[in-house]
Amino acid sequence: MKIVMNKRFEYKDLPDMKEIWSQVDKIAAQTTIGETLFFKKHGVKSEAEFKRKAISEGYISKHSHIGWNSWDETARNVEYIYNELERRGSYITRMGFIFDWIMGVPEEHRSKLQPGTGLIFKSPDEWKAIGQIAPIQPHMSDHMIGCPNAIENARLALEAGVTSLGNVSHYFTYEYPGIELERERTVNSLLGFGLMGKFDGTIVHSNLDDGYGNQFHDLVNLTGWTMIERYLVEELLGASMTFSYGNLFSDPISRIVFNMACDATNKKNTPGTMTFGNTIDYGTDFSRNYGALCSFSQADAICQRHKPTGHAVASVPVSEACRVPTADEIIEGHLCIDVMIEKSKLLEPFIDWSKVEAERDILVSCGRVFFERVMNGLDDLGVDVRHPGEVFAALKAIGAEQLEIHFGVGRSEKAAMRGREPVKPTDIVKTLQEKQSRVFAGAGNIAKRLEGKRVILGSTDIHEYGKEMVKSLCSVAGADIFDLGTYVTPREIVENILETESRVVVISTYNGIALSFARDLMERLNENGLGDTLIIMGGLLNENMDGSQLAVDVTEDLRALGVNADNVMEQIVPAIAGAYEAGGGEGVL
Amino acid sequence: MNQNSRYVILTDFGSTYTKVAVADLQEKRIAAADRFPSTVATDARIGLQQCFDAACQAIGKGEFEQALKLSSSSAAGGLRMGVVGISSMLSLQAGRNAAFGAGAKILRTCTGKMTEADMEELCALPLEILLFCGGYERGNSSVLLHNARMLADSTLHIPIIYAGNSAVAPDVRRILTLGRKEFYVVRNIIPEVGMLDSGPVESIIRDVFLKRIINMKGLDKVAGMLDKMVMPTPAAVLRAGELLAAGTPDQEGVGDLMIVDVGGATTDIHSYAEQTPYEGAKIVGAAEPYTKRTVEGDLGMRESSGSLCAEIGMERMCRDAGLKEAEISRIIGRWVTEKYVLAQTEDERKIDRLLAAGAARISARRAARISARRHAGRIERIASAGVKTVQQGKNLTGVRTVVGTGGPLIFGGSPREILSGVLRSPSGEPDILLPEESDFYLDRDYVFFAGGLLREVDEDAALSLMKNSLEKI
Repeated sequence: MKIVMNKRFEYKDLPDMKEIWSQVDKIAAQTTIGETLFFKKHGVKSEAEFKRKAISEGYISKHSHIGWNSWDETARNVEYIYNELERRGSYITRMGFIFDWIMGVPEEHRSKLQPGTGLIFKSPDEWKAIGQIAPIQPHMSDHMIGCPNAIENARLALEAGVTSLGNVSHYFTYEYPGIELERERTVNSLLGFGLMGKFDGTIVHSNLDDGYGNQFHDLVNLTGWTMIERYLVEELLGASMTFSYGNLFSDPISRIVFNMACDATNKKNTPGTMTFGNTIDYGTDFSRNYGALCSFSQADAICQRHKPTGHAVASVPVSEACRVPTADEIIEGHLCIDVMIEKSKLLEPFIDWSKVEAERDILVSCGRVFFERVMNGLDDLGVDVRHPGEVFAALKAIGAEQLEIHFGVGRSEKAAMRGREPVKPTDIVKTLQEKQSRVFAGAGNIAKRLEGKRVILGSTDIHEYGKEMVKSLCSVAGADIFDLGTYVTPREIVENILETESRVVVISTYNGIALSFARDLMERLNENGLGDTLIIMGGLLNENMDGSQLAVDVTEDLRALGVNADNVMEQIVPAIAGAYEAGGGEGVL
Repeated sequence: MNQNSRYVILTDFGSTYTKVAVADLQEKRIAAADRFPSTVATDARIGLQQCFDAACQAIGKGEFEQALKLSSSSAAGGLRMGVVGISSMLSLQAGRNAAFGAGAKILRTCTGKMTEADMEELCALPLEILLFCGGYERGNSSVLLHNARMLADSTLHIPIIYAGNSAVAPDVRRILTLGRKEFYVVRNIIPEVGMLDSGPVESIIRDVFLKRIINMKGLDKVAGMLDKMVMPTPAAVLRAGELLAAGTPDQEGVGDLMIVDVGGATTDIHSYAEQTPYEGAKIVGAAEPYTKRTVEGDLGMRESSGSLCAEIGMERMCRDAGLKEAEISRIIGRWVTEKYVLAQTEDERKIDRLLAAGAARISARRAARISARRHAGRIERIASAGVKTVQQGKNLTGVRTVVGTGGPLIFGGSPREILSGVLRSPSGEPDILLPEESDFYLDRDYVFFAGGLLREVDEDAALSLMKNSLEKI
């Protein structure tokens, strides 16, 4: 097993859990949970208490995420939304407040980051005000636990009466460029989770969209991943946790299945926070967006009717993909989903639940296999699986891709992405698989076409699906493939051409730098006498020219440089073969 | 030799001194240590005998005879190698790391197709081993075959280690055999993208070194006096540092670490840290080993006093030493010709200190500039690769322990000033991956070579005696 550990710090040097717990106890002794207007109105001490009551009464919670950058505007809009919804016979239960990213790092490091557009609190009083605008329960997930300033933020939030805090997923994927505080981040997150565990009714929230959820290709592995997060937060750190997701599913039934799969391991019966909307279906046509809003909110409501988990149904304004929505657009969304919630009780009895449960059972049982494999793997790597800090840091050092490659549940398949056929591909992967079968059908018989021929592959950014598809094609065609991964640099490509004698380099690009990348690469190739290497570029062949905001197509400029910019996946294998035939099949060196 | 003996006698043949350390395995400390001017140039036995006499006096004849006697050597300029790769960032870099890791000094490197001029230069150098690598598995073959033919046709008569693409290994073997070369074929040092397999190369280099050293003039006669010549001194220090950083199952190490070893002929920099991406940067180039050594040639003390003095500048030397140019030239001139002479007078000690400080300054400068691409890594923002930062080489920003060893540092004074040269200035060199701050220690008892040798016998004792030698400065 060749696992590359991208360690950010030596996790073996973390304080032992005794020390962590003694700190947690100290902080807990100085912390009291504040009372929000929402708690007062409903006579509860935590959101979990409210949700348990709501579940028994058949009440479905509703959620909105808001992101205005000034406190005054935020307070004014929150109050307006609450009152206006009441006036129009609707309601809202909870709201997610978006923090500025600089809140994620300790005060002394904030000057190193460019402030963004989210909220910035400077004193405990400013924190406390968040629950006192209107009887809507605040939820905080971004830049809270999981970030370097985890413990301070968690404590201040609890004091303010915010009892649902995120975000476990952030730990694995959010970065604060220029600030390297991984050790602090790990320790502070352990303290934060530990602190949450000291107070009944608190909920640790993980939005899988923000973390490895977006990076796994197979839903069964993602289900296993939720078991890993739950093991860390609940079993080792004594808190209660729930999962959230939104963009992972375009298929409404998948949302229900996945919710039920996550709930299958919810031994503590922790109520859910919310299910996010699927904004991938959102575009610039607001009428279509209304359809998308109805589709996912209805599914989420049906799910809550059948097996209430407490997850609020989210209203995502139809303007979300285009701009920061106005208060009125948020209100319109809520009125729309009210109808979906109302009608869901009529649909719920006619769903074939045994089919849904069968799907759930596949996710859960395969998820367990993933969980076990990862835990055994960590143990083999010398990680103390009883120390949550070591496990958090090691999982981050391994990354979603390697976890899926080495511990994934799908059967091995050479041509598949990550070397495995997903048991239940995510919607993103499903779309790609469909594209792949179209490409393979269009490419004709390519078997052995590239035998003995070498190809270098790489992507100029994080996107690897295009590269992976080329890899599948080349692999079926029998090529010797040298995969340089993501974020390749022109220099790296040149050095690898030297080591491999490849005559062809295929580059996938999506980040609007196609032309400058090609220019730099061509220059270096010529400097090294490798000018006759065939460069094939595909993906989004555009670039922002002369400081303009709009990227323009650069296909013709690339062709002028001698790059193959046909951007036709089906033609890649013949193009590679052609480069070798033209050169007599021998290396260029 | 007795396996149960209480003491181990550890000696080192350096180019300036022959050193001895007597390790007490029971007390896990150094019972005695001493050093004598090197006699390798004439008869190595004399210096060794002086060491043994000192040891004998410390622990008595009975114990001395029972004791295991191990030795390292960096005499005669150490182990001199050449490295031939294909690309500078991948195969050559991997080859360089392996050669340094085995304790060698690299006199010349070549990339790509070798030319007649490359060959002439290689043949003109006093090389002892040539490492020949390049190509991933199923990768480049034509450059390798070309270079194999060049080497076969050359007048180079030193062992060649082939650690390139195994697909052409049979051809390389045939070509080198026909060229009547002594060669070894080991596993590919860069089997695939992002992988490194330098273990076999390093172990072959050490074997070749040992074979050679016991036949070497000056040292051939000492073999009978020792149980074992174990390894080149730099390899011993390297292994000592590795133990100090990582610890043993029973005893914790000090964690990530850098060692600055100012020697008689060269300055070594060692680092012990897992490769990590700096602020999430993308890592490119050959995989970096946990244990890494680089050598800054011609920066050592005595033999290169002249060139060092020139680099520091005579004007500055005169000002800082408070001496006249003629006086400085006279002292340095004597040191260059008579290597074993020690700094004795106050004036000589002043010059010695200035040279050491200058050497460290220069080595720090190299670590910060040239070695930003060699030892410590470097960050680059590449516009044509998006906003992502790219890291080449090892990230040492997290190191908080820097240890100095080597005679000039230990005995020369101002060690802190010298060692602080490894730190980067955050404003001046933001892209160099060296620490901004660190604690500094000195190998006060000069036992790191001994720690590396003793590690072969008793890891815990070796670690304890190194820890006992550490002095915070």
